[in-house]
Amino acid sequence: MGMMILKRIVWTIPLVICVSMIVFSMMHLTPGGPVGTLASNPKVTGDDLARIRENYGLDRSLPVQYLCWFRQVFLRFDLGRSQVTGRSVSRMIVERLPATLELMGMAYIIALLVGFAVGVLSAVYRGRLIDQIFSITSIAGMSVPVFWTGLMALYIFSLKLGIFPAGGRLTGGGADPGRFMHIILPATILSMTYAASWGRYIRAGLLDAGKGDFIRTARAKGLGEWKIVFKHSMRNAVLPAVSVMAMQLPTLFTGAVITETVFSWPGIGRLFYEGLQRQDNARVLGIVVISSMLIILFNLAGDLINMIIDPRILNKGVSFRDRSGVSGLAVDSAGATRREK
Amino acid sequence: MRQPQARNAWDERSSGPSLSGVFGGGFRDDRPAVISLILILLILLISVMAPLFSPYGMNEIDLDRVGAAPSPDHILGTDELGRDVFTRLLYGGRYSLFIAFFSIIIGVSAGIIFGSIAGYFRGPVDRAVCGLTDLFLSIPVFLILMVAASAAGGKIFVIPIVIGATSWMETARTVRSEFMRLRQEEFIEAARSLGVSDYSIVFRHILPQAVVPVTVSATAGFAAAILIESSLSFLGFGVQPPLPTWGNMLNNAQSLLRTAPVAAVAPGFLIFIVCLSFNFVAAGLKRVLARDSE
Repeated sequence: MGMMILKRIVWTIPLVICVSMIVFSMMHLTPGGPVGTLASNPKVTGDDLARIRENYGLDRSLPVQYLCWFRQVFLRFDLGRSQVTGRSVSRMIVERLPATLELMGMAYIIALLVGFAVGVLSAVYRGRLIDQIFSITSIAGMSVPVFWTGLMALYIFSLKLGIFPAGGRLTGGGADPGRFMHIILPATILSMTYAASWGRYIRAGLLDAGKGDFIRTARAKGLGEWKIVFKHSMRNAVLPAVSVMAMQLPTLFTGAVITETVFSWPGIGRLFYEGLQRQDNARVLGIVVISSMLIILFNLAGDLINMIIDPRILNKGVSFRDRSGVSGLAVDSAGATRREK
Repeated sequence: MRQPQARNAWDERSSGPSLSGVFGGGFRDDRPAVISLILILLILLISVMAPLFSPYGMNEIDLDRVGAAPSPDHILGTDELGRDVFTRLLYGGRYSLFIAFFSIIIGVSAGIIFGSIAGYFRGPVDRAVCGLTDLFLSIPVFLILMVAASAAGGKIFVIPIVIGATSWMETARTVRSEFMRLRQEEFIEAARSLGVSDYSIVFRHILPQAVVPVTVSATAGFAAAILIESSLSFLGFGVQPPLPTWGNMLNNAQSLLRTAPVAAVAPGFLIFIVCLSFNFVAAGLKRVLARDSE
């Protein structure tokens, strides 16, 4: 198993290199190239442009540029400087990290609570009205465009009812209630898709566990459904769901792009969005590289959890693992349906 | 006239789920799925024939009513440039649905090709395809999509290619495992021992059955593609104005939330309804297929 983990970790290197190469070449395809925005500024002369190009090494060929960037990032662990602000990209990311973690954590907690409640209730009352209602709401939760629900929530709760502030984040003093009011709306919106799909997973896990002989025995003993679910099925149902949740964690990290944009939440998603708008190559590449690494590591964590639950996986092929829970698509809600088992 | 006996025996043998069976029985009893299908067709029809239904031109500007609330003249109001929201919704449906359609065509074809290659040749070819799939599953797809769409500079035909290129993995996996399963079946064995060519085995015997489960993921994928396109367009990296899509209409409407909320409600609601319908149809298909294979 140790060997296997090591192998997987070593594998991340070519993966990340591939991803960074793709993104690197795409960034250079952008109309006007990396200095496109500067070129349209009338105050910037041709000489200035040439000088800037030289400074950033943009006058060299693409492969050479990539090698330079590669050496800097992977050998010196330096993500470089932003072409827009001139600041260190790693510092910019670190500054935005608390906001993103805060939003992610909150969304994660909400999704967990709602997902569990929905999953357990629909497993206990399977086939009945409440199960059918939850099943329809789950499909609805996966079909809803996040940016739209975000806008609607802003419209209803901030503009019309005035309960919540219209976006932004408070940083001051620990337990300021205003801080909570700022986060609750974006976190709820972000959590919706996850809650919808996790609810299905937990339901499926519980029903699957319910097919076991020990459950039949428990039922034969006359135990109630609730007791069976909590005392017997839960253990078997929860772990697979946990591995799915672990794998989806990094998609919360990048998946917040839309939510952070709609709610002007100063997190990493928004940093990426603004970087892309201003064609800030170093920033965009840095965020892509870091999130790729996160996805790979959390996928590994998910696989490890799966392995702990079911050691038989070790003997099966590694490729095409059943990763139906991994949302390759980090878009807030899209894709979740496709990965439903 | 004379039907070859062996052929019939194989058909008998391979009576797994078939497409005609899916749409014939079972599915018709699934009320949400049927209603959804009708709704999708209706919206598709109205969008395709947008000029017939729309009261104004796609980019026609009414300068007297900029960002206006709904009125008898403009039943859903106007946007920030004074264009009729209802009209743009119809035309937007054209672009949104067609982009999603071509994304799915590209994604599903790529998935079927990769899946068939991996499943038929196995060995090193299979490992290579699996490696590629793993690569695509490990990337922050939405970030890459944003970069790719912005690199494309809003060229509308690039969007489906980009979405398709990042959504073939699920199909590839399904087709591959179907190939693995089917190639061990007796009827394939029989075909091979009769000297049927590889080409014929793949295209006439395995593929038609292997793609049946793909219909489910393709249908659900349609919803996902619409969501991705609209998200990209909403962020300003997808289809560029003045071409309307449901996504970029919402981007513009954001600033008008206070005065013309309908312009923000309507496009998103349509996205929601269409995606919901596709997901219901997908769920219906999945149920029917699961029942048939039991």
